[in-house]
Amino acid sequence: MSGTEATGAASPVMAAGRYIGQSVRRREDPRLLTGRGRYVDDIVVPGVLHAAFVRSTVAHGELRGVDAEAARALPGVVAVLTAADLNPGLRPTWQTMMGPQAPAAPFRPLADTDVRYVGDPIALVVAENRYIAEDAAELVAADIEPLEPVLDTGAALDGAASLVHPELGSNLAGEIPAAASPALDAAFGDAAHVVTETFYQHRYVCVPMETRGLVAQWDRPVSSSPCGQPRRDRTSSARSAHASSACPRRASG
Amino acid sequence: MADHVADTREAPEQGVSVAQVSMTVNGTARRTTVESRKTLADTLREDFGFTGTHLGCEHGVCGACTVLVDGAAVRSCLMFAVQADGADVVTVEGLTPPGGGLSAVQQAFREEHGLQCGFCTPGFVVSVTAYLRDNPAPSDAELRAALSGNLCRCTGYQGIAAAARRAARELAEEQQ
Repeated sequence: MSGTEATGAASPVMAAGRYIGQSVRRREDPRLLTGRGRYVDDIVVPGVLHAAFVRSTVAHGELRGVDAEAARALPGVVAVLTAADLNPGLRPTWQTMMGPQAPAAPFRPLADTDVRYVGDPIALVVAENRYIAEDAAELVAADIEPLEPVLDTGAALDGAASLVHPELGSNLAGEIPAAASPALDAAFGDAAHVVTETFYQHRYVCVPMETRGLVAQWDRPVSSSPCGQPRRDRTSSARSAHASSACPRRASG
Repeated sequence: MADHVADTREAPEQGVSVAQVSMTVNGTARRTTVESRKTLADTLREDFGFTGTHLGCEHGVCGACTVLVDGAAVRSCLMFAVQADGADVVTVEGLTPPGGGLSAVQQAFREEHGLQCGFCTPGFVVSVTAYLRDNPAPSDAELRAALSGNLCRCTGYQGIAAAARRAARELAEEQQ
């Protein structure tokens, strides 16, 4: 096999000469091409339990109740957690890029009295294998009364829209003001024509082929996730860890 | 971890149906006992340890789970293991040459940077291998159509299309 292999230690100068301006073969490709990669779902932990979520089917609705009795009675189900079970023990790990004055969205691991988007998690099923977890998730009955959703950022602020997060009292999540620029103001002031336009940006969501997953073990410092942010995972896991007392058995999976 | 929408379907039957299945996987006879509803993909991964077969969507859209069953490229997430009883199954692990290394298709993906995270890659490699076996001299449009059954979220497909073209070229040269 010819071509440049990214092997061995090299000084920065040498590295530049070897890599820049040419196509470099990746060392990981042979294992990825022959099925010998290791992804989250490839990790085998003896006795691992599997989780499945029950999620909202509507963008906005009143959650009147969750009946999990049939799911809990299914053989192989270890726990079915609802907001009453899980939320009180958890501490928020919310990140905002809107600055320190931005309101933090209310932190709800599981939907409590209302659902706020399609996919809002309502219940967490833990079972001995994923087939049983999915069976049990289908047995959870969520009583949802659909409400009018807020579908547009403009409409969200016109006063007539319902509040996505009632706790905040507003649908305004944050503002980033433009920096003051007298020169720019002067340029607009002197311009022969000023055109005003509104631009819409699509909603960008990462949807990797390897879907979201996490393998965790309670009593070992081993946790595997595909997101490539191990320190953030560690922080959020540490803040959530004491809530696992809500689960009658060790939570892993 | 699976996501499910809330609904109120009836409880499944309590009695779990199990079956013994036998198949050849990458040239070796294998046998296991599975629930009748267990997919071929899960059986290959969990019972036989061939974790190169990946599950992205689990409903036949993404193609990451593509394997060869009696030579045909199929979605192993849409097939039960019991349906593959007696079949000859080849996964991405079974495509490498006997002496090791990479197959022509695998090598072409490496040369053309037809992969990034590698999660979709086994499905592409198996699909392209089967397609070029049946259509050794495809037009570019035909090749792109053949690739349309597999999804990738990293590469933007240009490297994958280039890899498929290179594989077709090199396999043709091998034939001469």
